[in-house]
Amino acid sequence: MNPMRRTGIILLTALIISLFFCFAAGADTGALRFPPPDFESGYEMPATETPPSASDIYEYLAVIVLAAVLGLGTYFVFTKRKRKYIWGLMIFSLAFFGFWRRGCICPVGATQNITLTIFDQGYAVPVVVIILFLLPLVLSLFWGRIFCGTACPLGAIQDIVLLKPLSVPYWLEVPLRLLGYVYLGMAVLLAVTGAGFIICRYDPFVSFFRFSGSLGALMLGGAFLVVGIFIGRPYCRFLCPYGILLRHLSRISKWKVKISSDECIQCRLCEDSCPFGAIRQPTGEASGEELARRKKMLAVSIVLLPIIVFAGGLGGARISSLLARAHPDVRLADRIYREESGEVAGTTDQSEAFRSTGDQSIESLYELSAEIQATYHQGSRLLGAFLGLVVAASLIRHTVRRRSREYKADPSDCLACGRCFELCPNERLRRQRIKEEEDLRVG
Amino acid sequence: MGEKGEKHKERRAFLKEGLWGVSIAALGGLAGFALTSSSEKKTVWQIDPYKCNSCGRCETRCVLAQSAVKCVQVKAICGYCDLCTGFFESDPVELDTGAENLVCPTGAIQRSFVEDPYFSYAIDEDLCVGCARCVKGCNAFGNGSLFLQIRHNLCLDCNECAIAAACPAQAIRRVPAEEPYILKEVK
Amino acid sequence: MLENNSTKKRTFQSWQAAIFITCLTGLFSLFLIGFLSVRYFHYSHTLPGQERRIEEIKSELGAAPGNEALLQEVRELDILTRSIRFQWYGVASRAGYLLLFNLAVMLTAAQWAKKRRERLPAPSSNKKYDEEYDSAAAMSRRTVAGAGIILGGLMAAATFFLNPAVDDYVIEVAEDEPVAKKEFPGPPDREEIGLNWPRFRGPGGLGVSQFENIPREWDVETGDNILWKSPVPLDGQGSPIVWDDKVFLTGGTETEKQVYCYDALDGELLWTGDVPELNVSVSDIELNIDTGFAPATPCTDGRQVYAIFPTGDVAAFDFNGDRQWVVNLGVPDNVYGHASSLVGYGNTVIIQYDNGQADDDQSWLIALDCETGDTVWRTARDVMNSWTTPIIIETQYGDQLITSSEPYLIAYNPQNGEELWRADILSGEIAPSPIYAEGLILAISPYVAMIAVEPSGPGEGDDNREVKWEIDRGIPDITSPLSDGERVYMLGTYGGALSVHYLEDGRPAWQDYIGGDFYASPSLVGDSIYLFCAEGAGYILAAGDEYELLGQYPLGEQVQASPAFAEGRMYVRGEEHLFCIGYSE
Repeated sequence: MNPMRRTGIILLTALIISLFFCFAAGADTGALRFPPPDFESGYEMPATETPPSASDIYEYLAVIVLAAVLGLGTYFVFTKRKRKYIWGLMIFSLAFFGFWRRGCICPVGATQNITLTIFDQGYAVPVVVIILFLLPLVLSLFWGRIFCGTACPLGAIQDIVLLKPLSVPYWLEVPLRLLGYVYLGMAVLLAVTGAGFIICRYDPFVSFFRFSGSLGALMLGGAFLVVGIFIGRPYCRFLCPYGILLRHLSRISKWKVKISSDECIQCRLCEDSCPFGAIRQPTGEASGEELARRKKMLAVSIVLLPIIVFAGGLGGARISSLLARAHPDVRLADRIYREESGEVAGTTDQSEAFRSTGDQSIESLYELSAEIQATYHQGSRLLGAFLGLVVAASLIRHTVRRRSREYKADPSDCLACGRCFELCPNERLRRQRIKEEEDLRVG
Repeated sequence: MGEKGEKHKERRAFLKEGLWGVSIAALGGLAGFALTSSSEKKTVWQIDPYKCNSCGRCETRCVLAQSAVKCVQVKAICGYCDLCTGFFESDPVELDTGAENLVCPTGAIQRSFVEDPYFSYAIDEDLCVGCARCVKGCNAFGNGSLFLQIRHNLCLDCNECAIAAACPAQAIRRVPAEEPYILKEVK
Repeated sequence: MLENNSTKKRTFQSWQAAIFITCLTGLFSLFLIGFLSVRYFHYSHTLPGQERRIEEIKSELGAAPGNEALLQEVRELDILTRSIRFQWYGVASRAGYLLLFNLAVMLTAAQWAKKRRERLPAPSSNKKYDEEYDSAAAMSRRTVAGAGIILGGLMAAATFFLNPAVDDYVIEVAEDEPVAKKEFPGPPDREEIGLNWPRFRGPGGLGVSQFENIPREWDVETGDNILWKSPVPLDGQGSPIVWDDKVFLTGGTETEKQVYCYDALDGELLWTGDVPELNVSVSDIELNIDTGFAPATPCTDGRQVYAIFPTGDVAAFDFNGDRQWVVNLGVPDNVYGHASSLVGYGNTVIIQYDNGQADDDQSWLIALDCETGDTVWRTARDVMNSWTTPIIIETQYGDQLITSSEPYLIAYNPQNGEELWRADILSGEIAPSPIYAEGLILAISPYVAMIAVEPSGPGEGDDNREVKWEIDRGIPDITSPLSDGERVYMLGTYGGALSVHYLEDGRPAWQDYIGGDFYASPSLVGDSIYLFCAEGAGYILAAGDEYELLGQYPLGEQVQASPAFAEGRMYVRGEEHLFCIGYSE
């Protein structure tokens, strides 16, 4: 190596190191360490490139397409009553909302944005998100869960892998559904406190739509799809938080998806056609003994309701400080506290970043953490009470005896996929009539 | 029995109607409330370069295989150093592009001579992976003209940014889409 | 017909073919997944190890620069890591698309085969609907109860297995402790307010002192008539306010926001209240350095003191300095920084929160509940960002809250925020607050005009309301005007031009230059006008038909805030001190 060069480098290095110490001592003086040169060769500084983001036209387009899909879906489910059309629409939604729009933002995740904006005045939710969130909900008050069957890409990806449906017994289906309520409650609590959007974070299928994601997310999604080969739409039925909202609104919808276009003849052909366990059998006649038992059970359940809700609240309060750890500020305060008290040695990236910026004092961080924890205290108590209410309501629901002489699609479980239409003899007759009429008209 | 059944049915229907009305009103109320604090302006994720502590998570946590975070430079801050510590290791063997001398693991920074004794540096964003090693180097010994920014031609604008959730300095936040970059300014 | 005969045979073959395709594509998918996994493993595990090794070598080379073997190794590793990395980036998407296509074919074939093999179900004949229904319901009750118990058990047990958050430092969450909740007292009445100086420019916001026994001379050198002088910890442009024996001020820096309470008797700093940072920090907003970090004047209702800062944080402290609440009004969009002061009305604190341009939908009139800080009402305003403080006036139509911002002077009902009337008369970046004198609202468009209008009832004469008179000379851009009931005084900031006009018709009375720069608004004490210039001197003039300087007394430090008055006393905020000027003994 050229000795001159070598010396030069050593000198330069020494200079820089000494400069570093100078500046470390008087850091943040505002002035630049190396003043930008005055160029004599006519060199002009290029500006920093700032490529713009995708136009928000795409977001409006997504809303318009969603409205169109929902409208068309309603027409297919209620008027056309053909699985083929519904399926086609579902595939379109999978391609459009899933693979083309990459799954973001969707009505399911929008639940969190909406709850956050209600509790945090500083957070302004885009209008598009509000419409996206409300459109399927309002529709469900009229025609049920059309969104699930035709527009939701998360549902569609599970629907297409369903090959060997096994029926989940009703008594198992019911408690499994509670998971969705837990998920919804947690998502709301964490969104409200600003800890993050867990529905998006743990979305099992969005990594497929993006063709990339963490190993964990891909494996989770893969697991759901493998299970989905045998169990129809496991995420929709047992976990989807948005599905919970739709479920309850659909229960009171104006029009309900009907298996048969005419009066049910109890042929039992559709009995096992629903892979999502939404078809309810006729209930038969109850014996007097059963009625008496149910009456007693109902009384007990109603008495139990406040007790269960209260117990849930207690349980919720118990896990409040556990849930509070979901918040990054609480975790940071925790870490700083442990570092300060000598409980742990060393620092983490988080605590280092906190100390180095010095924007906030340790006391105010503690105070902030205390405030957040207080919110969690309230919130997890409410969450516990809510879950208690859900359990108690489910108990009550299963003591009330409903009377039905028909095979019916339970509007809260029915995802409007149209599978059952294809088996109903009445439906076949109807289609034949339509065909004949058309033939006549053509003839 | 018949009459009682009818009454029962009527009551149920009435209850349902009421519930329906309440639900639609609640959704309307929700819409109204959300609209009062809504904004028509789109927002996007961006890194505040003054908060960023170059931890390297931007490279690994982005949901894209190759991160949407890239290193950018504000030329007005750059010192055009010969021994650029964003480009060279702080203790280089020689001032050449041998792998042992370079900070960037993918060779995404190009160095070119301007005039004696100044060199300019440019970032090839196809190669940049957003690891922030050069940012660290430039901040430690230089003017800090290199810093990370989320490139909006690449960013998928996830509802929750995976990097933001993992950022130890909480440096990533949503900013108005009209001004989607937080560039460092000359002080 | 011919086709019909062969259908059976072909169906059999076609579903078999579909199954074959399914298996084939399935195998290929598995292969792709395996391939991707290997690549991913390389990327996620081999790569970091190699990169660590590169770092190691780099530091070893620092000690032994001539080691050719190490040089060779690091260069090879460098090429290897780059190829692993970029192969993965390429493979991840290309193989991803291939896999997607392949899976799509597989699923199509599989679903098709499934459809082809479907047979109509043949349900058995005897079915006991009632038994099945009832037993399913009974079973479900049990499983739901079981699930509930498991859930409860998990909640109860969770803290044993997982690490809960530390809350040793949590002082405030005094849960289950039977703390008797203090009754929140009612708002003060008019009389009580009239005895104090609860907001910017006094009870009505007009700069008119209700006390006349204020010293007309002082001397900071000898301490004549200077009762006390106390240092103020942090800078601020906001003015002092007074309630009984307490004087309140605000101050701030980039990171801190504070409220101060001084003892009116001896100037002791009784407490300092910190306002925590909520979701908006100073770096998130535009802020002119001249505006400072605490430009707005706080307000008080005798129960609590309320303060607002340019980050949009509003906080309430009780008179012992305990913070009662703090809320953020949303990220402000204000070119110089929010500076409008707070106004108390009944059980609410009202904030004129003007942001952005007139059509940005960002400007609001907001009323917060004094006790809780909750928003009581919020009215949207189609105006530009401004720096004026509203006044509440008594009219024959009831109380009206008057706001002035480009382009409208708008009156609201201070009880519910309903708009009463508006006038399209204002322009510019408005900082001077409106005043009300002898039935006239006087509003200012900086440098352009002072306009006098009369208040009216709700909805009357909107937009092009009749202007009583208009002045276009000597219009200030920062200080607010003052009226003695006969005349109106306007004080220009640069050079101290004092322009006086008759209130009756706006005709000029006189104009003179006092000299110096003025940021503090003029005040009226009896028949004298008190002015404080930025350079740090008080001027006392006679209110009248001609210029008459009664005295000029230096204060020794810069003054930008308007003074506050109390019985026999005047409080002036200097750059570093709070002065109490009053008769000693």
